[in-house]
Amino acid sequence: MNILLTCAVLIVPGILPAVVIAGQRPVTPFLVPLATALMAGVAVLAMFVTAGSLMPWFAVVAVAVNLLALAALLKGAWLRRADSSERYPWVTFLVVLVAVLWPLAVLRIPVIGSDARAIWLLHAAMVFGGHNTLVADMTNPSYLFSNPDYPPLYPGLTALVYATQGRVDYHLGVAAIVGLNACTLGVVGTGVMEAVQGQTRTLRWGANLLLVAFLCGAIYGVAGEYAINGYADLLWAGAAVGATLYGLVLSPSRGHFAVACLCLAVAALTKNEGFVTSVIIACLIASRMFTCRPQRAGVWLRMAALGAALAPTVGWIIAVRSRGLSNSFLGSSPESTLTRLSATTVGMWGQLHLVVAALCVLLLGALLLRSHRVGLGLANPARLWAVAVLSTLAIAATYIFGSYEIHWWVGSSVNRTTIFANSLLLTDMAVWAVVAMQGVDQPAWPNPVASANGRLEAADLSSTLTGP
Amino acid sequence: MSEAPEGLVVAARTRLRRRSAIGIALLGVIVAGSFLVEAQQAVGVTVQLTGSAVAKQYAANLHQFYCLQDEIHGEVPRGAAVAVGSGTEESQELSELVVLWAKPEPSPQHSGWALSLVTPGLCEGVGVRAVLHP
Repeated sequence: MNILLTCAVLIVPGILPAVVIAGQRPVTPFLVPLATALMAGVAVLAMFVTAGSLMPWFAVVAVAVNLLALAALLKGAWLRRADSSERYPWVTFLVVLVAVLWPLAVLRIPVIGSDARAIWLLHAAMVFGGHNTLVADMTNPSYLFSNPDYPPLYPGLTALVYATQGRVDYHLGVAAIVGLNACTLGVVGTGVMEAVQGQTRTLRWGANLLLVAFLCGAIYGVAGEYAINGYADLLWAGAAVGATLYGLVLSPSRGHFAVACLCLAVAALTKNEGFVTSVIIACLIASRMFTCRPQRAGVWLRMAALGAALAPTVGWIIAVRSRGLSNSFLGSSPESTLTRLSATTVGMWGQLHLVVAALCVLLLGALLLRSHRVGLGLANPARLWAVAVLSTLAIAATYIFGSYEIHWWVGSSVNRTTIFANSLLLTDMAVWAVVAMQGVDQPAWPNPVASANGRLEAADLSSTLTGP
Repeated sequence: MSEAPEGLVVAARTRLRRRSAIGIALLGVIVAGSFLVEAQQAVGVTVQLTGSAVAKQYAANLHQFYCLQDEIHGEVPRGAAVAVGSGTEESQELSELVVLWAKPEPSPQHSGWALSLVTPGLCEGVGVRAVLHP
């Protein structure tokens, strides 16, 4: 009974906002728990800066968001069918669902990583304790090891699980986060399927779907144990890949933009590096709007939406800094910068093994398939690569200017901090493969629906990648 | 006059298409290879984690955690200040264990209780020792 209550609390509040954001598309069910998690994170922020406990604040936030969603729904401005003639949306949803759910068979075992317990589940217990407990524990020097300034989405959602159970249940808390991880991969998988937009034959469409299923499996492979042991790395990485795909690769329709904003907000409110990456993605989405969009009406509204997506995390940063909270890894180090740079470079390069394959695919795609990419209304991949490079550099800078002993630090965390870059490269390869399947025996064709806004960008793809 | 250039154009187009097809096939091979290698790793991790020995170890770890919490709840009154030390794995684990129950402090100066982990104990071989300072 309690499990049903937990599922209801994690799903019901997110349904209406997800429908308003994405309409009736295969991606929508995957957005539902992410929307709930975002509300839980905002509720933690409200509780932290004011008083009370999580459930009342969550109720306030959920009711407010759902009223806004209902108003938008009644206005009819946002609820639309898919932007294109999507083929078999239910089949797409079910295949992607199976592709992201199968590793969850592990959940019958309480696989809980050490950092999951020492950071995330600990913070969730503090949130479960209410405002006074949260503030007292986060400002307690004995808990500095848990990096108290980490954003509150994960603890918020897990504390919601605890509240519905009436007790701290680490196993169920991890299960909820693993479910969120799966949802972010579902967003990525359905996003890649949106690239073909029903313009393909059934057999080829099936091949695309198989490719997407393997993409989800491949991202699970990149994440390894961190996908299911309660770490937050795949959650922010998957959400940030979703934001990049919908905001910087797919045609810049309103539906895609709204999905990108939700993913941005989730990534930013999950982990510090997720926030930095989200700022990078938001800047690139803004630059895309200003430079490539033929119709600039509504650009400022979209800028405001991007700001709103990052606002909860900015609010959290201000709130924790005002209480003097910080993390335990920034500070002075006894090692020289050169030593740290060298160890960081070696460690990260060892994990970024997909770069070479992804570069080969990029080169082949740019030489052979650019006209097909233009026809599908897909954007210049340079922005996706810019996100991967800048995010990786930001993480590298944290290693270089951090305080922990560098060899231990890189060795114990680099396989997690590179999940985002590797997942993004896999997604880029999947998009090129989808384009290639369209281009096997067909000339490039114009897509009146999708390429209206993407044509200019895709045109500059050729100049960027293949010269004049 | 006109047939020869047309034939050349057709031949050139055929060559171009063949090269394109080879390039696209190469792209497909790279993508498929990368995806298969990574997906295989995912399957490997899943199989490894569901193996009985690993599963038992994870279950024992969680059982030990809850068991140690119960011991602390039995020995230390709720809301008490407890000295857990600082900068060690033990102090970190004790801080995790007392969350929502007691207030951890690095040194025993202001704490009524001092906590430490001891072996042997009832929780998978480990136990908690709580000492009340005068």
